[in-house]
Amino acid sequence: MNPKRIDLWLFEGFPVTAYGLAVYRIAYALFVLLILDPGHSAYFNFRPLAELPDSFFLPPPGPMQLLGGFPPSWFFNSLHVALDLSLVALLLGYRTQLASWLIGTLFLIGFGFLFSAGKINHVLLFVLLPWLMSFTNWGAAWSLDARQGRTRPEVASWPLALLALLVGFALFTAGFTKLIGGWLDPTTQATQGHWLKQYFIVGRQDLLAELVTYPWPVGLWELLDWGTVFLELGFLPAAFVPRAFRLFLAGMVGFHLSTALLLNITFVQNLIVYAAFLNWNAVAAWLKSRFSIRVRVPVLPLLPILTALFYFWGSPLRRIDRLATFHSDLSLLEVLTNALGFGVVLVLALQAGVRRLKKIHFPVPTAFLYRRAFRGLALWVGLYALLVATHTGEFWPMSVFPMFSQAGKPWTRIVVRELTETDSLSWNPIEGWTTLPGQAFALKPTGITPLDLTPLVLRAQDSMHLATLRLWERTYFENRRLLVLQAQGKLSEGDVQVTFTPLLLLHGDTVIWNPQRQP
Amino acid sequence: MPSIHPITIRRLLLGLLILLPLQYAIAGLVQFLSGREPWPALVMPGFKATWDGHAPLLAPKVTFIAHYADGTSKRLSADTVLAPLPYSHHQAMLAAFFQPASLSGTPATERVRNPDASSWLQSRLQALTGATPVRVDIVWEEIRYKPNAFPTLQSSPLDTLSLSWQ
Repeated sequence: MNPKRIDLWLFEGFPVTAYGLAVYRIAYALFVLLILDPGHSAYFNFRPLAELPDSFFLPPPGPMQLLGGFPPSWFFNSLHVALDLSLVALLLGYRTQLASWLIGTLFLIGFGFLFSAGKINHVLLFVLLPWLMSFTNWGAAWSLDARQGRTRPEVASWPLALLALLVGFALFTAGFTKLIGGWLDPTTQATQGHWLKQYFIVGRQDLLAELVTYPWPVGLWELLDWGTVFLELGFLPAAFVPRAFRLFLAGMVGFHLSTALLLNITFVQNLIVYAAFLNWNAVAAWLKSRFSIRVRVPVLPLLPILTALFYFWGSPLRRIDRLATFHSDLSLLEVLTNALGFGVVLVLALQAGVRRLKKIHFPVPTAFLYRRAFRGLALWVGLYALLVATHTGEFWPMSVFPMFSQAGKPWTRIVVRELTETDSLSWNPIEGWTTLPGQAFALKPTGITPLDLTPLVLRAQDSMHLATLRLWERTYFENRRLLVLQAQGKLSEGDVQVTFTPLLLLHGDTVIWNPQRQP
Repeated sequence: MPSIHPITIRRLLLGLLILLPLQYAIAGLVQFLSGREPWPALVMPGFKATWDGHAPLLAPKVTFIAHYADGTSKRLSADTVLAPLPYSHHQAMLAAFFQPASLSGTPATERVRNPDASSWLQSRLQALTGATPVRVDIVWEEIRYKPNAFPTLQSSPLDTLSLSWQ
């Protein structure tokens, strides 16, 4: 590459301003404190390591092998105090350079011990970020350092170019491994294989994970394999073309959201690394034009107060996780963060699209378009009303009133009964509720939804075994005896008649199917 | 922090351009020789494995069965026992510390037999179940997903690692 072009990329490719960097510094500190929640969330809490025996200290090749075991509790407690203190200092812009280096170093030490328990997670980009950003002088504005004259006003953009190179290289390594692993071979389906394994065997079955059981065309799976490899490989050359790099980052944010929704795996710490390349200068300019940001009260006392709050109570946003429980280790906060990241990408794409459209003049016949739209909508609503009124059915995306469209038609549901050792088993159909064997088994407290068991009625092969697996886990671990019945109701002479057909019995580690119903 | 001279920054870039592939090659070599990934290294997970659409997908399932002096026992999933650690660590920890030598080919994966580890496991089971176990069976099974077969999911026993505290 031409040395002048390299200089242009290195020194002017990712322009920054003191205020833009200040907004990103604050966003970074808030992201780590509120979303990643060091000391409290599963992947950023190093305290449990102190309880592990030294026999479980299995450091990866590297500097951790110089140590002989896990440190005691006071060490990890001190590490988390120092980490929270450094993050709050960064938030306030107090001794920003020192705080940035401390954050990177403390995370490196903490993760070093965490990864000495048998497994490495790939978080080095996140660890390197504050070190690299410290060279931009991201404490030059909206900081205590600036107020107390402890920093110079100049900022540097070259660390962002180096960060782009690191991000590009890191993601290239992921794509390169896939490339030599055979992901582009049209006779193999790598994405499908990983997804099926996560779904059926690891048990990641939340959100949209069930889509893996759908009969998607082979071409789609191949497209996912190729798309993933090219997205990751393309990052390295794209790192040298700022506009292309931002497009790849947008793609990666979508990729992370899709892995959260489909494979139930989040890698949320990378989002704040990608966010370094957002146009924070514009955000700062907007903030300055709307608000007069002048803090007159002393800010320094906030340092110990906020540190104590985050150390003892953690992020208040973690309470959001209580709103939803997942079968996998997904966290609602992390899923929402991924969705928010993708939302930002969509808004930016929309803004860019609108800007581009404004430059083009369309001779649009507005009245004609309105007329066509109105007729189409009227036809759509009319057809829907007709189908619902005649109880014929309904169609997506308006299928929200099945109680109207399916009125009077036969229905089928699943019922689970818990049998005692003395209850006898018969596969014969049972008429009415009163003669059902055993006691009702409530599904809700077990985390199994009636929808999970629908495949038992539909006889969808893959999903059916997933449904039985979920129930089987309950019988296996709690030694229960559960009978799954299909309840079929119909109108008969003005009354509802319900017939229960036993489908399968789960007992301990055994599944017995009704011989007549076995798929 | 004083501003850095452009020549130093160019040298830094050059150093990175040399260092990045070098550390990647070293990480690959270390992984090849020791079977373990080094830390710290700037590499991302590759998920190298592919699937031909027909071969069964396999994964181990580990269950802890705690036995008590009164003859009762209680089953606990591995994820419950290892809950204080991140979920992504569980399979790797089970393979490295709780796996019978008959499955791994080396007694090094039976580290849970060491006195400190054994004592930790007993305390952990006691904390989870409210009673002191006198024995634990760490049962290894293989979960097998076979597409286009019945049953789609199969489980078969592999081996059991037992610890006694009597």
